This record gives sequence, structure tokens and C-alpha cells, in this order.
Amino acid sequence: MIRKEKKGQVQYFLESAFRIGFLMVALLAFFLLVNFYIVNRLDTNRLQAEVTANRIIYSDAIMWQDNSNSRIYPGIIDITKFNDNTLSQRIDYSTKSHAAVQLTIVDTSDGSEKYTAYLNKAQYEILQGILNKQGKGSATMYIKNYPITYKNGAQYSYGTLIMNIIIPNS
Amino acid sequence: MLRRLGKRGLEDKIPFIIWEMIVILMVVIALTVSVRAIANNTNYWKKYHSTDLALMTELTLTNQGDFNINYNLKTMQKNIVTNALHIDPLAFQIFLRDDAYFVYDKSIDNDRFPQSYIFARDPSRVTIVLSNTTNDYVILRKEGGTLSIGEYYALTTPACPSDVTTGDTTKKHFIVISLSDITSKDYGNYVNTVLKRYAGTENEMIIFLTEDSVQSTNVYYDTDIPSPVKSQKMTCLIKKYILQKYPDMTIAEKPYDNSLDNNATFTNNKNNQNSPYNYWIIIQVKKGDISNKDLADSILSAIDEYYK
Repeated sequence: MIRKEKKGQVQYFLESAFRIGFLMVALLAFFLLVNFYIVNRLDTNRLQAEVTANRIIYSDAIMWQDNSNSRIYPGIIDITKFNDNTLSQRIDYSTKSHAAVQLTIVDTSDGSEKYTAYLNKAQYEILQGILNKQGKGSATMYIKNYPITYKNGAQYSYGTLIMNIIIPNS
Repeated sequence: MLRRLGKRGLEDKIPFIIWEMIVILMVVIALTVSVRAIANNTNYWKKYHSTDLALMTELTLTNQGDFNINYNLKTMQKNIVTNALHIDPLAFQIFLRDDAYFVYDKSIDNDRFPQSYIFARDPSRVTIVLSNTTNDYVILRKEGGTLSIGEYYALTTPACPSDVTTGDTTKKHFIVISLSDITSKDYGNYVNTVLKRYAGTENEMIIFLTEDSVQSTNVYYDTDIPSPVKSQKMTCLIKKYILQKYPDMTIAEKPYDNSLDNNATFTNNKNNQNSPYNYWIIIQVKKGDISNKDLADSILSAIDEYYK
């Protein structure tokens, strides 16, 4: 306050500028570190895909159920139930902008695709176009294969159930 | 740069020290406010709980059986830091709606950012009961054909198999056979009289009654038939209705353990090929535990629910 010399003022200003600059850098680093360690994002896409796949494979939505004792046979697909309509009735997402699944039965003997059904077909077709992108508005596909037996009337055949599960990124 | 060591030099530094103190104070205030805002932001936990509950609900809907899931919500203990920074304890209000969970702060009117997560319904089999709870301890309950959430309640009734056993009781025929002493015969006669109302021609179930003075009351189900769960369901329902009348009683429900294989009446009747019944059960009553009437009423209620 008492000093009036210009030389002293310049020296003082340089000192302060350096200190303020250093303080700002330290503060910025501190806030960045704090934010780095705060986890506020929940990524449940893969879990949702697993739950949806399990819902399909273990419920009686498309699996054969013995009516005499109500037992469900996971892994034996009843072809009479393997269609879009049954899937949407038994696994009913009221908001169609959620999980969407394409199910394909591939016959083991000749490798041909025998049957295809969809859960939320319209949504599946929309989400296909935004796969492999980042951030909100995009989607991720998870592919799961299950060895199965499919039952068509009294005929049982071996095959593979391929599930292409698309979950929107949120 | 710092070459001034005299008193004049110190005077020069005082304004800078004051300014530095002000800056430090501002930084501390900014940090405290930011930490408090982060700690009071419940969006993460609201999203967490809504997602968790919705995914668990999907899993319960996968299975045909009944579920009672005890779900403990995240809580925060009060301590010196939370008190000093005025960090509120976590408290939520959870709503189960037709197709989703909504989680609000407990002070729902002030919550502008509720979180929700949808699940896939199965309307043909399960009805969603619109319900809500503010408790830290949520019970997700799927019983019969309904799904609901609620607060803790003591589970006093057993959850029985939910196999479809619908049938026309007017066409069924039930018989009670006493296996042991006079008391058992007394039970048997009474229950048989009551069961005469089912005068159908389809031989459905044999109820073997035995009375034991030492062991607790037990119910056994038939494991020899292709679908033991049908016999198990009946024993479970009888147990449930007896427990409604005698809440303090202990009743064990077991698969048949061959303990009555030496009883000729039992083996002859259960293997009677001339007049076969679909399944049988055994009720082993501890002497004096249950009155004739209560046993008969429990069997009648169980039959009604079984074939409903």
C-alpha cells in the first residue's frame, strides 16, 4: 500500500499472476479428479440383454409346456408358439422403444434357417440402422446362441436358436 | 524476487495474504457446495433401484412359481460429515405401475426428476397390482396370479406350487383311510362324512390319516406318480389352511419317506389296481393338535382352492 515505485508494482504483479495461474491449474485438476471418481452412470444394457434372453429361453413363451403337469421344458421350442404374436403377448413391453429381439432357428442337419420370429419387430428394424454408434440414440446388439430341440407336431429336430438382441443405449 | 527482508517488505505482503485468504475461503465454499450437491443428488440411486427392481420383476415373470423377494434399499447413516454438510439421508418412494417402476424422493412433491424403468409384462398370466411403498425394505411379491410391492410382513402362510390343477369337483371322488388307532379312525370318520359331498365317479385322491403321539404334525406327498407336484400342492394347501387355524403349530411338509411301508392298509390301498386313485397324501396328526372339525374344514378349503 505504501509502495509507489513502478518497478515494485510490476514485480508484484508478475508474482501475483504466477500465483493465480498456478492456483487455477491446481483447482481445475482438483475438480477434474473429483468428477473422475464420481460414478453416476448405470450401464445395464448387457444385463437387460441377458434378462430378455433368459425370459425367452426359460419361460413358456415359446418353449414347450406339458399341459398334463404344467412343466416347461427349456430348450424344446414349440413351433406352434414360435411367432411374433405369441412373443409380444407373453413378453409385453408396453413401450416398444425398449429391447427388440430377432430369433432364428437354424437346423443342425443342413445349417438352413428354418424359422424366424421377432419380439418388437418394428423396433428391431429401426434399431438395426443405428447399431455400432456411440452415445444416446444409438443401440448395441448382443448375439446369443443356444442349442435347442424344436418340436413340430410329433417331430423333434435338433437346431440352434440364434438370438440377436438389440438394446437402445441410454 | 523476494529480496526485501525489512518491515517495509512485510507491509507490502499483507494485502496479498488477505487476498489469498479470500481466495482460499472461496475455494473451500465452492468445494463444500459442490460436494453437498453431489451427495444430495439422489438420481443415481433412483435410477439404480428402478432398474434393479424392474429387471428382477422380469425374472420373476419368467418363472411360473410364487416369489417373495426381500429388497433392501440403499440407506445412509448419519455421521459428523453428513451433519456438517447438511446431507439428507436417502429416502425414496417406489411406485409399481402397470409396466414400470417409478422411484421418487420421499418428498414426492419436490422431486422434479423421478426415475423409471420398464419391464415386460405377461398380462395373460400375471396381473400387476398398482402399489407403492416408502419403506427402506421392499417386498416384491408374486403370488398366484398377482404381482405387487409392499412393506415387510411376516410370512405366515406357505407359498404352494402354482401348477394348474383346475377341475370339476362334482366329478371327483375322495376317500379318507385311517391307518392307526381309534383317534385316527375318529378323524377319518369325521372327514369322510364331510367329503361325501364330492360324490363323483373319478377316483382322485386318497387321504391316509395317521395319528402319532410323539412326533409333530406332518403332511407327506406322493412321489411315485409322474407329477408329484400335484400331490405336493394338495399337502401344501392343507398345511396352509391348518396353519391359518393354528398359527403357532409346526407342520412339516415332506416327500413320502417310506415310513409306512410296513403298514398293510397303506400299501394295499395305495397300490390297489382295481380301484386306482390319481394320487394320495398322508396326514400324520399329533395327538390333540387339531380338532376333527378344523382338520375337515382345512381339507375342504384345500380341495376348493386346488380345483378352482
